[in-house]
Parts: sequence; structure tokens; C-alpha cells
Amino acid sequence: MSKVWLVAEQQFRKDVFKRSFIVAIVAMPLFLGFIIVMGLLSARMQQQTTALGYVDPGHVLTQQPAASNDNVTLTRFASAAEARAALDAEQIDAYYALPADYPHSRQVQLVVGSQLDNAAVQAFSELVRFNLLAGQEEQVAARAQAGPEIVILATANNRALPLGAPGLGLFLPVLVAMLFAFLVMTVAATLMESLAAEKQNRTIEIVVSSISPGQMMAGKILGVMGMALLLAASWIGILLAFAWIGAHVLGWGWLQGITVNGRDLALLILVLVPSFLCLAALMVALGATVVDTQEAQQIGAVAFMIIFVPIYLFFLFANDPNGPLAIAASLFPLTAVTTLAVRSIFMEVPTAQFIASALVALVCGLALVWLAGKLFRANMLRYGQRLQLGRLGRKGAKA
Amino acid sequence: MATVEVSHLKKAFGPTQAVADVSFAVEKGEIFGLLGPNGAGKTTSIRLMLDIFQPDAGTVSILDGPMTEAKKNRIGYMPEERGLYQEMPLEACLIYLATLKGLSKTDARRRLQPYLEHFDLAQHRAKKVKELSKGMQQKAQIISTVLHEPEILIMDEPFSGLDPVNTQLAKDLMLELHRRGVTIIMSTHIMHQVEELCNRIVLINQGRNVLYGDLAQIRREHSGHAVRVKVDGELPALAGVQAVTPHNDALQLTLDQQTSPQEILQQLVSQHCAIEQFEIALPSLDEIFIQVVSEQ
Repeated sequence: MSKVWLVAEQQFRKDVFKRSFIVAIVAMPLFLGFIIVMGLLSARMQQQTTALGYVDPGHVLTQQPAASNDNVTLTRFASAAEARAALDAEQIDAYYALPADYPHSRQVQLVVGSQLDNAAVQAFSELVRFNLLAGQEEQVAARAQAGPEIVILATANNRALPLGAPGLGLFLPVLVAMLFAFLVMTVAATLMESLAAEKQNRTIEIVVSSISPGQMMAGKILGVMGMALLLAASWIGILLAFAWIGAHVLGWGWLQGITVNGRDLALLILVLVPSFLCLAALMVALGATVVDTQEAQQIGAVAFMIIFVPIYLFFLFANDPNGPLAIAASLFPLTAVTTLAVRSIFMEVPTAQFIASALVALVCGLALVWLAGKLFRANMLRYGQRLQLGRLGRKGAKA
Repeated sequence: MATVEVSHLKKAFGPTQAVADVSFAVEKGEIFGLLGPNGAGKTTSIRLMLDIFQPDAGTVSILDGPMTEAKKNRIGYMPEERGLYQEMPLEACLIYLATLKGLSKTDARRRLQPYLEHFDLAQHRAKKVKELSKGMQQKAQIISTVLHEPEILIMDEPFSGLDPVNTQLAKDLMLELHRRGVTIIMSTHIMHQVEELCNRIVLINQGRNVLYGDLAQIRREHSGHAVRVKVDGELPALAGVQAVTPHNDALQLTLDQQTSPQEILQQLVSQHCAIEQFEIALPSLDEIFIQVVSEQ
């Protein structure tokens, strides 16, 4: 067996057959699940039952719609005085008073004790609308009852943003970018820790007396990549299973009919590959300069934060998705994938920008691979010492 | 042809000239000493030999030519800074390192068994390396260096950090491998170990050769004009002796330039002295080392 594969197999076994790998497999789906559950809980906690009264001397509101909000109770009062008494007695939260000439005046008075939530207002509006549409044809009445469907068409950005509930497909590039960020950081951090551990264990000199440093590096990268692919496959599998159960078993609408923008995804992957190279090489270069695994973990955490900067700047990019900052962040290899993913929600990012971003990442990636090789050879046997970058030129060139 | 031939090696790290001009040849089957004070360039010379570093100038021929990836399988190397994978079980760790030297897992496992028994580690094979005592780890390190049965064994400060028991184990193993025809290069600054084990040496200081050749010859070349004598009774007055100094339980006689050791022996015999010891006073390697390095 090639020595590269021996190193790869060893690295793969070391990374996969340990408790932290199992934790990593379940961590991401658990994290997403936690967010979803917290969101649902939060929405449920905000729901409150509202008791709403109304006074309708003109007998306009004679029918109840079939589907009504369970959290809003509507009670008819014979007079405004009765309704007021009920409000004062805190039996209701508010009441609407329709005048006798409502069909002509279309004026309504709302009397509120303290405050009224939107769900109650909407429930009463539906009741009024339902009764006013009672004489219309069924289809017309149903359409009018459904209300407007507003889609904001940003012609300059070639994006259609439905008002109210944008589909999950719109956010798919961001999910892909986040998955990429988790994966690349897992790979890079593992690689960096592995190199630091070789130095810390004093095994590196024994290994490079058996194989070349290049073979060792190639084997480690292959091993870590294998671990990362297994991790990604596990995550994707779990997420797909989650989406299927959500859509088909639980009937969650936001998981149904997800449309994918193939162009954006394809272009994002074009940037994703060289960015991965860039980040992995950067981590190897940093791994060669650190003294121990603890320091490697600290540096890895900083790099991880940089990748997520575009997520923190989400609203800035939403306001100006094609602004100078957004374009600059798209060209910077560490933030390119996440920035382009965020921008893709709000605009059709020009193909030229994707290509430029991919090229910059590729050039930086190749330069970093070269630098990582130099740093690694120059520093691999400097136990417990940091590399002085000023000496790298002379030292690295010959080592 | 020499098994290892190093010619005019040079290597600098930034402003530091680690190796300025080192040359030596190691013959097949000998134990060769690479000596020098700390920082002399011994470890860098070894790393250059093993192609871990590329030399700035000079050449290395090892097993009839430049170093190749295949040749690395025929060399055993125990660096001064050594360690094992702490999180791995002992047996798995040693097998992995042996497979990197070209052995199949089956062969590695088969060869490992007698070594584990010999070094009293068989019952610890499943333990993680970090769970072993330091002495056990040292023994495991020695096994990992020789498990693939190398033709050349390079040991950098081989006895550094070893307790006396493991030092003796390592010496015995070196002598056993020497008997089997393995070429051994040991780098050290502990001179009495060299006197005990090595046939030939190179002494380097400040990155340059300062002494090179057969150990006995070097000692003869550095001997002063003196003899060591032990007689039963009092030493009589002898012509041609400049000074008499005690040396262990004998006396060291420093001779003038015109007097030979043979003439001193003749005088002792003619005076009917009971001679218990008479030898040319050869300097120890320690003395030569200090003398040469001080002159530098």
C-alpha cells in the first residue's frame, strides 16, 4: 500500500473512531433542531387568547367563517353599553362598534382596554370581509377573502421576494455556505491540530525519515478529507430526513415545494472549491507555526469567526447587496462563499463576480499551498518554538 | 565502497552556519561515532544525510547513491527528539511506524512479538502509549527503530534520557546488530560510550571536521611522550623522566624528547623492578575532545 494511503488511513481512523466525531455528526442537526424548536416555542408563547366583542345593530355580521382563529373569541353584544360593561369588567379585551348605517358609512369604532394584538384585528377583519362577500360568487368571495399576494420584484437585482413567507429555497445558498464553513473548519482545524500534535509528540522527525514531508501532508489531507466527507454525508442525510419528515409527516408548509436556484448553487460551488483549498492551506501554514494543539485550536476559532463575518453583516448586505463592501467581501477568499450566498438572497450576483471571486481564491489558494509547504518544512523540527517569519525567505528556500 | 559517504556538506539557517564543511565515510558493518559538542552540527548533518534537509552544498551518498524514498525503508533512525503517538495503543503505534518503513502489517505484527517479549512489553501491547511508563516508552522507541531490520542504523544521542537499564539494553542491541552486519552511526557527546562501542569517529566542531579516522590511531596520534607504570615497591630513579604524576593506582612518567618508552622499560628491567603495569600513556577521548575543541 502506498505510504500516502497508510498515513491517510491512520489519520482517518484517528479522527473517526473517537467520541468527538460522533458529537460532531449530531451537533449540527441538533443545533438546527434547537433553533427550530426554540422558534416554535417562542411563537407559541407569544400566542394569547383574546376575547373580542362587537356591537352590530345593523345586523351586518350574521355569518361566521368556517375557518377561524382559535385564539380569538368573538362575542356579539346587543348594545355598546353592554359591551362597555363587559370591557370594564375585563370579560373582553376590546370591542368593535359598527354603526347601524355601516353598509353605507363603512366606519367602525374600536374600543380597547389596553392593547390589541394583530391576530385579533385580523380575525375581526376576516369576519367582516366574510359577511360583506356573502352575496358574491364562491370563487370571487374566496379570492377576495384570501387577500393580496404581494411579491416585490427587484428588477435591477433580478430577484422576486414574496412578502410574508419567502421560500426556503431562497436561503439554500446560505445553508450551503454554512455547511461549507462548518466542513472547511472541521477539516482545517483537524489538519492543523494533527500537524501540531506530530510536533508536540515528537513523532514528526521519525515520520519524515520514512516518507517525504509532501507525502505526509498529502496523506493527512486525504485522511481528514475522508473524515469530512463522512461528516458531510451524515449531516446531509440527517437534514434530508428531517426535511422529508417535516414536509410529509408533520406537514410543515415551509419545507414543502422548495425551489432551488441551480445557477446560483452552481456558481457558488465554483467559488467553494478554491476557497476550500485556500482555507485548508492557510490552516496548514498556521499549523506549521504554532507550538501546540491548544494554540492551533485558538487560531482555528479566529479563522472560523472570520468566515462568518458576512452572516453578522446580513442586514448591511440586504440594504446594499451590490455595494463596495459586499463586492470586496465577495473577493476576499475567507469570506467569499458566505458573502456571495447572503447576496444571492437579495440579488442575482453577476456571473463575472463569481468567476472573479473563484480566480482570486484559486490564486491565493495556490500561493498559500506554496507558503504552507515552505513554512512546514522550515518549522517542522522547531520543537516548542515559533517560526520567525523574517527568516522564512532564507530558511524556507533551502529547507 | 562506503555505505555512507558525506562530502563537504554545508547548511545554513539564516545567519547561522550549522554545518560549514563536514566530510566522512562510514564502512559497511562498522559502528561509527559522529562526535562533537552541543551545537557542533551533528544533528543537522544527520538530517542532511537522511534528506530531511537539503544541503546548501556538498553531497551525500548512502547505500550506493543519493537518498531515495525506497532507501528510507533500509534505514533505521532514532532522533534525539523522539516520541510515539500518545493516544494510540502500543502495538498499533509500532505496527503503523513499521508499515511506514515498508513492512506489511502481517510482517510487522509477526516481527513485533519477539521484541515485545524481549523488552517485557508483551502484556502492555493494548495499552495506550501515554499509559506506559517513561522507561517502557523508551524501550518501545528502540523497537520502532529496529523492527524493520534496517541495514543502516542512525542514532542521535541514543542513550540520552535512558535509564541505566535501558541504556544497557540499547548497547546490547547495538552490539547484536553490529554482529549481524548492520552499519551503525551514533551521534553523541558522551565520549566513554564512543570508546566502548565505536571503531572509527569523526569529531566536528563549529560545523567542521576536526578529527576523523580510526579511534585507536587518533588516540596514538594524540598521546603525549609518556608511559604509565606500576611496580611492586618504590619506583627507582630513572634517566630521561621529566615528571612523575599519579594516575589512578599507577604513575605517569613524562619523558624528555630523547628518551623512548623502550629505554624506560630497559632501565626498569635492569634495576630488577617487579613490573605490574607498563603501557604507553594514551589520552582518553574525553581529553582529546577537550584539547581539540579548546584549540578551536
